[in-house]
Amino acid sequence: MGKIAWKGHWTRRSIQIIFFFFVFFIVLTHFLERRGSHFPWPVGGNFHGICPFGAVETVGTLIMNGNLVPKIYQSNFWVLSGVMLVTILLGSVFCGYLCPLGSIQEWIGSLGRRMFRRFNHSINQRLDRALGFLRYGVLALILIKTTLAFSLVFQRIDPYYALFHFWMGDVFPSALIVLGSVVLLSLFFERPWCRWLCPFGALLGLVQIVAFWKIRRTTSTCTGCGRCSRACPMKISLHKKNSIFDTRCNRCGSCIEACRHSKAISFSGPGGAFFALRSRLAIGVLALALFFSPILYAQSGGFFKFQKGFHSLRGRREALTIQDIKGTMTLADVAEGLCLQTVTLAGILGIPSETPVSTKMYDLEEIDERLTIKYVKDLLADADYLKNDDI
Amino acid sequence: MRKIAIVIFFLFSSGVGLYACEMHFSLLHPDGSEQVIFPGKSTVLKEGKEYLLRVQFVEDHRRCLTPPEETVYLLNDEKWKSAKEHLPLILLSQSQWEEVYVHTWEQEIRFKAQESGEWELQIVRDCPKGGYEEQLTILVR
Repeated sequence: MGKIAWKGHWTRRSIQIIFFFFVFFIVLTHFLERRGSHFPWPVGGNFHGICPFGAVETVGTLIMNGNLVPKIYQSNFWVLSGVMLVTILLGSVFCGYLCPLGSIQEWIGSLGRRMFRRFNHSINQRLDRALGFLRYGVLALILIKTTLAFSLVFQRIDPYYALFHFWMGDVFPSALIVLGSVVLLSLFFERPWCRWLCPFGALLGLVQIVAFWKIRRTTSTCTGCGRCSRACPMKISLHKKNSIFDTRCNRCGSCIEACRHSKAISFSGPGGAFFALRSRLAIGVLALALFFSPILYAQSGGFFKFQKGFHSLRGRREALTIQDIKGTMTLADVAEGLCLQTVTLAGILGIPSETPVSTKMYDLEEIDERLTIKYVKDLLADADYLKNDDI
Repeated sequence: MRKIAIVIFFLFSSGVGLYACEMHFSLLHPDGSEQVIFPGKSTVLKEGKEYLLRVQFVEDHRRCLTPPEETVYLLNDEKWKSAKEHLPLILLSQSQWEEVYVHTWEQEIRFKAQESGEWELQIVRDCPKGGYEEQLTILVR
């Protein structure tokens, strides 16, 4: 095992490709559903609803007035929990193995490496490190602006959103320019967005300082040759440190692969070799398991919701009471919530039975001007169908 | 040549035209002062006074499927219309939506705070691309 398990990036690349297409599959099914396609599995929500950074963006509004920014749902917090679990235990493995934007930069970087001899070398280490601090500025700016504007301001420049939506005609030109610049810079530098601008990477970089598993150097076997540092795509001087606390390390494993001395560098816990993860496959499988565990838990318990209301925050479906009926609900929502057939509901309200079930309750006024929400509630409260149960 | 072709391809693909809703609200008080208001936060108004609500809508998608005219205002879950004098906030007049900047639309709504109490003004844009649904809490004293 040993070094052979670290040779080549195929395991990591495979996980990156699978995850990239998994995210693309979610975006595509949502897009097709919008156009009238139906799928046997739940599609619901939107791309923002599965973005872990969305939960971070709304922290300010959540603290200030207890509200989530529009387009952000309970689901974002479950995805963020998965990322945090991975990061607290394994460090920024999310960045190195799962993040689709990181993956695409890496793939383009592979192309750049073949095209340009001086790939990733035309920037000195001090400038590179200084540029890395820009990430914290971007993070602070996004948090402040999102809280003040009560909207997803980052969407306007978000290359991750642009990457998966540019073909839909839904992306701001500013975000496209950022994406285009990232793609172009990736031809010359390793992961430019991740290293210098990514706000989520900045946050995960801070969290990973406490990670259980880290890249660690065993001083008794290390000769200080510097091969690990030269191999590091993030230009971290590993051979001068005992363990990596650098916020830019994404656990790609290039340093371990480059090291010629057995066990001089390992991906291990504080206990040394006993907790060492000895291959990229082990890291990837553990990361996927950790990432999906909170999401699967929430899915199985019915907590994974792309909604802010109607379902309680605990997520369990609650019986709808007449008092809970909102103007923004559809006839179908109300019928389902009150356990009625839509035809029965139409009969109670005195509207044609062929009225589309997607009709919003507030639009009933257009059918019959008396049908305000208050009047609808009165009609339902008086209906014999509903009088005898707890509704 | 191959390198130049690849660089041109990336530059071209980054320029493929693209844009997605976002809303901002401000309230002009009778004394002339303007207050920016946010969904989820209460705004205090004086009973019997007239106010001007300025609503700005920014298209989040380049191809917006729901025109600004389809923005719906719900007061206590009922459509907010000028003829409805039984509502606690009486809508006096409503301007046409006007495109003030590229992809940015504005509308002014003049209303009277008729009845004291806490009222919810919901703003809804029903759209398959996500739309918008938030509410302003109005406290009339």
